[in-house]
Amino acid sequence: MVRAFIRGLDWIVRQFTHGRHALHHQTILKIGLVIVSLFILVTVLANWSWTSGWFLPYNPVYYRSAPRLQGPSLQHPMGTDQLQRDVFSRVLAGGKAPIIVAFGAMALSMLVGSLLGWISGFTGGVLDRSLSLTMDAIYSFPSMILAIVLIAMLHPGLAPMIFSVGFVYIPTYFRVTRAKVLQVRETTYIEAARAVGVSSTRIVLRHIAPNTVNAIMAVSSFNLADAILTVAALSFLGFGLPAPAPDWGFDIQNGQGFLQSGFWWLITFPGLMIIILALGFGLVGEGISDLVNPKRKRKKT
Amino acid sequence: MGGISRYILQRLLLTIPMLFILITLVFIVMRMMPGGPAEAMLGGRNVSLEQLAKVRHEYGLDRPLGVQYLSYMDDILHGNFKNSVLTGRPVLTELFTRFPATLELAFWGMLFALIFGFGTGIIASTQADRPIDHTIRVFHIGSFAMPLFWLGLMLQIIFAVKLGWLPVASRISGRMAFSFQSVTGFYLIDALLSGNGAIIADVAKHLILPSITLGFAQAGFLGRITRASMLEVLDADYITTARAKGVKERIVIFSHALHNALIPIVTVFGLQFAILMGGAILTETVFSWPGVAQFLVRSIDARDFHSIQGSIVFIAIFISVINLIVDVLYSVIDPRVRY
Amino acid sequence: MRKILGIVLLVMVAFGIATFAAQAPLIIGTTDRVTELSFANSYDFWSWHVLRNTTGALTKLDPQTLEIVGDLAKSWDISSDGLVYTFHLRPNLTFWDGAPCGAAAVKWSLDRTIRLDGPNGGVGLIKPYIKQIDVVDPVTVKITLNMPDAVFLLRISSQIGASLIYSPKTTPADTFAKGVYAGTGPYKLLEYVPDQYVKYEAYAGYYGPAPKTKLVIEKMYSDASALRAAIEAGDIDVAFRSLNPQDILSMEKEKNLVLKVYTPSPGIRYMLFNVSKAPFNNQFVRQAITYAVDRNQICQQVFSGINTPIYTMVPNVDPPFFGAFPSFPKRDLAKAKELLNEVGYNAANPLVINLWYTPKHYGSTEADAATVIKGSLEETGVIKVTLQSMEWGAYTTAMGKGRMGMFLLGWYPDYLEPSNYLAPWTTESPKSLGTYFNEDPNYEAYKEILEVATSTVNTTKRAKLYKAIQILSVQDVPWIPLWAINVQMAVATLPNVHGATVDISMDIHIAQIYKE
Repeated sequence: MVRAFIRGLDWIVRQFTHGRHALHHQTILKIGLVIVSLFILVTVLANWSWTSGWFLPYNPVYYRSAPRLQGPSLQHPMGTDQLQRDVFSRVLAGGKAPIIVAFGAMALSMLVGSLLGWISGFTGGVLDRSLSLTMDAIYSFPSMILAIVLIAMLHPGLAPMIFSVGFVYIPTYFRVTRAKVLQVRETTYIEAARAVGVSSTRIVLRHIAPNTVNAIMAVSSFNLADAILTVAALSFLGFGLPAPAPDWGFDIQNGQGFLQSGFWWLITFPGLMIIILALGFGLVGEGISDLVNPKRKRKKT
Repeated sequence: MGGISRYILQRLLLTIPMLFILITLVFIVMRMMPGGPAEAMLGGRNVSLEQLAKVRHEYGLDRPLGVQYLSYMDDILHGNFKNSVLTGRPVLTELFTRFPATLELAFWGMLFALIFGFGTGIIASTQADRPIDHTIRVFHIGSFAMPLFWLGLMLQIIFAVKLGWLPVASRISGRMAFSFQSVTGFYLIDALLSGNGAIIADVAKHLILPSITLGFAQAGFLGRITRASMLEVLDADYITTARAKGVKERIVIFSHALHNALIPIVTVFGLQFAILMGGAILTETVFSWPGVAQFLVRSIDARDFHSIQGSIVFIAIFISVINLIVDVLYSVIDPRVRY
Repeated sequence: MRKILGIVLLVMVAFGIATFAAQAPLIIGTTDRVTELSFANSYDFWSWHVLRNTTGALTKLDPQTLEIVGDLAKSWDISSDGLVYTFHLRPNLTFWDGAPCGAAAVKWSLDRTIRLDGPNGGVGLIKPYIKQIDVVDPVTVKITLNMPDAVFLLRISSQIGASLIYSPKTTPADTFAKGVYAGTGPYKLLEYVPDQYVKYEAYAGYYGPAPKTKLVIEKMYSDASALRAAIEAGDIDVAFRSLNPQDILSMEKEKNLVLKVYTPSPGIRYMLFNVSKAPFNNQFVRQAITYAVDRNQICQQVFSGINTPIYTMVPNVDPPFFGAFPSFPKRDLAKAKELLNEVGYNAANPLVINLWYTPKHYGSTEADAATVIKGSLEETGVIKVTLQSMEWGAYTTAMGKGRMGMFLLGWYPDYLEPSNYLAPWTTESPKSLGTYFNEDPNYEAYKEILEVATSTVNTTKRAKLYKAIQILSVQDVPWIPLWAINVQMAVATLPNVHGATVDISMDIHIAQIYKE
C-alpha cells in the first residue's frame, strides 16, 4: 500500500518535470483522482480496522508499549508521540474528519447555494437583488474567520463542522449557478421554449439545470481542496473532533507544544498528508475545469 | 471626473447594505452560542443564580431578541463597540492597539507575495513549457495545498529551532522592546525612525518568517495569474510588433507586457486581501503576533462576546473599505468598468 | 471628527511608551494575562498578582513560615465569640499618591469593594462574612462578622484580591478601578498595556524592606513555546507560568538556565461525578473507577513526569494544610473489575460511559489527559469510555444543568485551608453549577462535620474533622483526586537571577527577586 502510494507520488513528479506533453490535462485529472481515491481508501480501511490490527501497524488511539517521543525508526517510520503512540498509524487514520467534513460541506453548500442561485437567477427582481447582495456580503468576508466563529459557537463534532465549513462556500455555488442561469436564460432556445408555453419548472429542469452542472463540478473540486485546509485549520485551532480521534490538524497543534524541544516529526508528517490530499483535490479541479472549459487550455506556442 | 465620483458614490451605496447584512449576520451567529454569554463569563465560579441574572441584566441579555438587535445596531451606528468582557477596556481601543500589528504583517506578507508571485510568474511565462516553467507551476499548485499554519511551524523548526538564525515568534525581542518607542504601531517604521541599527535588524528579523508564511499561498496564486495573463499578452499583436521592431526583450516584458497583465491581477486583489485576513488568524496564532486576528481567537476562547462581535464587525468594515478602494483604483486603471 | 481625533489620541496613548534606557530592569515573562485591575471585579491569578504586588491588606501569608502575619495591621484582637476583629494598623502608612493609609482608608476601601461587588470579581469570598466595619481611631479598625469564621484572617489577607486596601484619593469611588488606584507598595504600578506588559517601580514610601530591584517589567507571551524561546535567548530574566511540561523537562538539563519546580502545588486536578445521574449514582461504579484510573501514566506521559499523582483533595503541606490524608486507593485493576462484576457489569455487558473534558481552559494537555484516563479505564475490559469535549462556557452550563456524569475539573484555592478543597461539591454546591451531592444519603453527615470544623479554632481538632471527611469520601467518591499541578510551580531564570521562588500561594514575590 505504501509502496503504491510512493509510486504514485513519484509518478506525479515525473509528469510535471519531464517532457512537453506530460502536462496533458487528462493526466492531471487522473493523478488527482488517484491521490484522492487512495486517501479515501486508506482512511476508510484505517478507521474501520484500527482495533483488528491487520491494516494499521499499531493502535492509533491507545498504545503504551512504544518508547515515548522517539524519532523515526524502523519500527516507527514516523516516530512516536508523547502518549507512546505510533505517529504513522495516527497519520494513516487521521483523514477521517477532513474527508467527511470536506465532502459533507461541499454537498451542503452545493445544495443550498445552487438552489438559491437557481431561484435567484430565475425569478429575478427584488428577491434576486437582495439574495445577491447577501451572498456578496458573505463572500467578501474572510471565509476562514467566518468558519472559525461559526464552529466556535457550536459544539464540536462532525455535523457542526460540516455546517460551518459548508456555510462559507454557499456564496460560491450561488454565484456560479446564478451566472449560468442568467446566461442560459438569455439564449434563444429558452425564449423559444417559453414562447411555446413550456412551464417554468420544465425549463429549469430540462434546460437550465444540465447547463449549470458542469460549472459546478469544477468549482466543487477546488472547494474540496480548500475545505481540507479549512478543516485542518479548525482542528489546529482546537475546534476539531474530541480526542483521541486521530486528526491531522489536532496532531499538529499537539506537536506545537514539543516544537521547542525539537520533536519535528510530530508536526511534519500530518502536515504532509494534508498537503498531498489538498493537492489531489486541486489537481482534480484543475483537470475538470480544463475539460469543462476548453478555452482555459493553454495555447501551444 | 463626474464619472469617477458617480462610480465611487455607487460603490459606496452598495457597500452600506452589504455591511448591514454582515453586521446582522454577526448578531445572529453570536446568539447561536450555547449556554449563553453570561454563563461563559462567570464560568466555573461559585456563583448564585441571582448573580447570573444580574450579569444577564447588566449586558442586556434578558431583553427580547428584537430589542437586543435594535440596540446592537444603534450602538454600532454610533461607533460604540462596548467594553471587552475580559479586560474591561473598550473593544475599539483593544482593536486599535492591535490593528497596526496586523496591518504591518499583512503589508509585508502581501509584498512578499507580489514579489515572489510576479517573479515566478514572469519567469514561468517567458520560459513556457521548459523544465523551469514546470517546476514553478508545481510550486504554484503546491502552494495552494500548503496549510499555512504548518508552513509557519516548519519554518520555525528549521530556521529558529534547528538553525537558530531567526527568532521563533513575537514582534521584537524582550529587551529591545523597552529601549524603543513605538509611535505609529508599525514597528519597522518606528525602528527606522529611531535610527538604531540593532533595533532595525531585530524588528526586520522578526518579520521575515511570519511574512513568508502569510504571503506564501498568495504568492502561488498571484504567480499563476501572472503567468496566465502574461502568456496571453505575450501572444498579442502589439507585442509581436514591438519585437519585430527590435525592442529589447527585457523592455518588451517589463514595460509592454507586464503593464497589461496587471489589470486582471488588480481585480483579484480585493478578494485576496480578504483571504489574507483569514490567513492572518493562523499566522498570528503560530507566531504569537499581537494582532487583531489573535485577539479574535483569544476572545473566542474566553467567550468574550463583546470582543468577538466587535472584532468581526471591525474586520467586516475593514474588508469593505479595502474592496471599495480596490474597485475605485480599478476603475481608474480600466475606465470601462464604470459603465 | 471628534471621534476620530479621540481614536487617534487613544492609539497615541497606547503606544506612547516611556523609555528606560538608563537602568536595566528585571524582566519577567509569563503566558498569563491580566484581565482587569479592579479590586471588586477581577478574580484571576495574574490580576491579583499585580494588585498584591502594588498594595497590601490587613494581613498576609508569610512566604517563609506559611503563617498569617500582619501586613498593614501590626496586630489584632479577636473577641471571645469570634465575631469582632479589632485591627491595629502600623502608624504613618502612605499610599503612593501621597494620601495617608489609616483606619478611614481601610474602611473606605473594604466598604467600596463590598458595595461594588462586580460580577467578575471574587468579592463573594469576604462579603457574606462581614457585617460592619468601624473606625475606632485613626489607626484602629473594628470588623464585625455575621458568623464565626475560622479562616477570617486568611480571607482578609492579601491572598484575596477583594481584601486589598487602596487609596480613596486616586481610586474612583463608584466605578471599577480598572488600573486607576494607588496602593501602599512594595511596588508602584507604572503602566499596564493589556496583553503586552506591566511595568512597576519600587515605591520609596513602602513600610517594609525595600524591594531588591527598582524596576520590574512583566512581559506577556502568547504561548509556552514563545516563553521558552524568550528565556533561552536571554530576552527575559525569569519565566513563570506556564511552561510546557516537556520544555521544563528539557530545560532542567540546560546549563545556562536555572529551572526549579517548587512542589507540592496547591493547585490540583480531579474528576467529578454527578452522583445523581445513572450509572454514577451507584457508588460501586464510582469506587471501581477510583481503582481503575492510572494517575502515574497521566503524569508520566502527558506531563513528562513534572506533575505528580495525588490521593486526596487536600495538598500535602503542613501548615497551612494540616491534616492532609492520602486516603484514595492506589491503582488495582482486579479490584476495579471485581466491584464492577458485583454490580452486574462484565466483558459481555460493559459499563458504557462518557468522560467530559474542556479542551483549552486547563491548557492544551487536557485532551491527552482524557485520552490516558479513557485508556486506563478501558484496560479493565469492563468499561467503554467515549470522550466528549465542550468549550469552557458551555461546559459550566452543562455542569449547572447536570448534563455531564463524569468530568474533569481543576481547583486553585481561594484561601489556603483544607475546607476550601473539601467543601466545594460536597456541602457547598452552588445552584448554578449543579448540586449533585445534596441528594446523597451521606450529605447530612458531611455538612455537619464541615460546619463544626469551620467554626473550630483549634487546628488539631479541625485537622481530625477534615481527616474524617477524607476517609468518608473514599466510600462516597464525590470526586477522584488525580494530580497536583506542579507545572505552574516551575520557574526558569537566568543564572544571575536570585529570589524567584514560588511559595504555597503559587506566586513569586517580585520584591524579592534581584539580579547579580
